[in-house]
Amino acid sequence: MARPMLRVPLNEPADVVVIGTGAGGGNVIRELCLKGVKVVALEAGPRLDPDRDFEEDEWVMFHKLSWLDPVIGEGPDMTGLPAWICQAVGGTTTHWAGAALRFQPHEFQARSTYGEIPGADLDDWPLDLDSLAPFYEEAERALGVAGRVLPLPPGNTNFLVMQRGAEKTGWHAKPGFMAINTEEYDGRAACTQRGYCFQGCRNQAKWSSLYEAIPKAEATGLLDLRPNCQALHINVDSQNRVTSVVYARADGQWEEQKARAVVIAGNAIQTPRLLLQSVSGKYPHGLANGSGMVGRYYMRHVTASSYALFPRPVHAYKGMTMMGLVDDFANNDPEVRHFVGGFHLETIMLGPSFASVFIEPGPGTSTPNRRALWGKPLVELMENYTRLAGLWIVGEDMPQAGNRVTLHPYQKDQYGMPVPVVTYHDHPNDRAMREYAWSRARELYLAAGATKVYDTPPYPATHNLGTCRMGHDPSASVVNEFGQAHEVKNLFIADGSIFTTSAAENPTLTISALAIRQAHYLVDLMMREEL
Amino acid sequence: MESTETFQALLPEEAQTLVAVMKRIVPHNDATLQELVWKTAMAYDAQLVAHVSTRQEVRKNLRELDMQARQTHAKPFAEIPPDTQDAMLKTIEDTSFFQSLVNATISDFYNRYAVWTALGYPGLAQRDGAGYLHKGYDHLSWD
Ligand SMILES: Cc1cc2nc3c(=O)[nH]c(=O)nc-3n(C[C@H](O)[C@H](O)[C@H](O)COP(=O)(O)OP(=O)(O)OC[C@H]3O[C@@H](n4cnc5c(N)ncnc54)[C@H](O)[C@@H]3O)c2cc1C
Ligand code: SF4
Repeated sequence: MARPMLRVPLNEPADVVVIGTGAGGGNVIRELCLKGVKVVALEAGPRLDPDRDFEEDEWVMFHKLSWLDPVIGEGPDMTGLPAWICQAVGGTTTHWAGAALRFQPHEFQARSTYGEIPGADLDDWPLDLDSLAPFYEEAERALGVAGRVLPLPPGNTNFLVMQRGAEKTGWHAKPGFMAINTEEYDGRAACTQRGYCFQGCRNQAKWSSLYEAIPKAEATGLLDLRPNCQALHINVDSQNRVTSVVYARADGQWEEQKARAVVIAGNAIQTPRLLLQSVSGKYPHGLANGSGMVGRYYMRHVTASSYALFPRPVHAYKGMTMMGLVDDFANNDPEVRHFVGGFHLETIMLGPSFASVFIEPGPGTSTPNRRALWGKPLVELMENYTRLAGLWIVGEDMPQAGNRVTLHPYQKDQYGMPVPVVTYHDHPNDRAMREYAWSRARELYLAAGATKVYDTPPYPATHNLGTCRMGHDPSASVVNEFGQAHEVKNLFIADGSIFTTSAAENPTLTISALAIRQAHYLVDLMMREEL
Repeated sequence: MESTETFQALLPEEAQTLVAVMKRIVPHNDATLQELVWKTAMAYDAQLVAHVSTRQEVRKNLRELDMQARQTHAKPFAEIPPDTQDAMLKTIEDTSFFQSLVNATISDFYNRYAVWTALGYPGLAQRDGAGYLHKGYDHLSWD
């Protein structure tokens, strides 16, 4: 039985205040509490109950889970809705599909491997695969990754179609590493192939910090979780130390929580927003932003999809939304492909409503130049819904200084916090990769017997990365290899914003591994009284 | 048969035009699916009640479309042949009015259980949690 809930008084410093409870926040919170650290967690969204609140309805769940407060998108390649991120306890790990891949070794050395790419500011990470490997293993145990600590997921019909195409083209389709229980694990049920992974898994088979990390931390009696509380400002003293976090409760009331250390894990748009907004005499351009790098190098992966119509039924909506991959293009082969970096093809399927909106999207959900499918071509697609197969393209995008998160000069949210503006334009390398990937996907599906293939452009960004870059050089990065701010020693960042480069893999396992590593480091510093 | 009188944001003639446009956005031959467009039109109308500026914009565009049909074809938009309707819509397909209407129409229409059933999508049956584990998630009928 859980101990009584911890309540840390506002004027008594919490050991650590963690802002955000998604992949980064959840992992840090679990590790800290298990090691005896008192944590106050601020989460802007509500706490939902999987059994009661998760529904088999794409729009209902989108509205229940998503960050719907204003985010302004700018740039020719920006989608109508800039990003698909959650605002709920558990963060975007409620929506996520569960693909849990490790980076490839060379991806930690992007600058050394790819060389100088005009228009991109590539850099090497301040750590390599060897130093992260033990934490990948810890993360895989915590998340329950099939293929590592559980049997690989079995292939659904969408995968069988992918496999058929891959066999004909000479590529290799295989079940991927998924943070989904292929059998009962860690007190959570097995997947029953319901195919509603994006809507929140009612079986709790797909990992989410909502029902893994948070309850484990609560069971220690050391977590004071405050849902519906949005952090607005971080205060510092004259010694460059964070002292407290100002936040708004749902009723609009402001509070100030004292803290010995602060970990921000609000995802790559909200994290730089909070730093940029936390202006003080010492930090006139935002907290920990002496380098001017906060908000820069926003990345969201080179993405796109390919959907194909077949003469016979596929029923690709059955089973895990994502589970199979083709890795033949994940390596770096610029000689042959004329772009640097790699990409994966991963099975994906949308429900009927999202399929109608996103397979050939209009300007509201995609870029301004798009035209939504309507009339007879739409009917052709939808009447063949059960004959569709689909895959998602995810590859490395280039870090560009102009792709960034800034604050709107005068628009504010309901708490008076400036609205974030996200700017993104594709690098020529990104465009070349997307075109190449679309044509490989087309080849694969035609080989499998497709009668029609749709080149589907990017959805609103689900992988948001890179706006508080990790690096050795304090003048060119925001945090060190542990996610610790160069300028503010008791300030840490634990989400995807610390990625130096984006790599070709879905980011969440890496976010989790880095967060676990950070928590160990933080505890070490506390033991040595260096914090 | 549904009636335009139950609409709240749109006047009956505007509602007729709206339903006619929506039927061309999702022109399924199936009579059940055709009838279901009314539900989507009413849901859209209900949203317009609270959104005054969008409502004005939508009403203006629907009236213009209808007026043009009357001028060119001597009939309300809702009564001209489908191919002629399509041709008229083609000329406005890149307007933000039409693109938003497409988005609103398809996201609601294809999220209706009756439409799911007609398309052969058994999503509603998934409430019980049993999933497709023993219902062919790993079997392609063409293998
Ligand atoms: C549909 C979908 C499918 C995905 N599939 C995969 C996949 O298969 N594999 C994969 O690796 N990744 C996947 N992702 C991406 C994955 O969900 C994210 O990479 C991951 O959740 C990011 O973790 P994070 O900690 O950076 O942020 P999040 O998980 O987004 O958590 C951030 C949290 O911080 C809170 N917050 C923000 N600002 C504040 C504030 N000021 N005060 C208080 N709280 C705040 C937010 O409400 C949110 O709960 C998917 C995403 C989506 C949308
Ligand atoms: S397919 Fe499996 S993981 Fe996905 S929602 Fe269903 S039970 Fe959960």
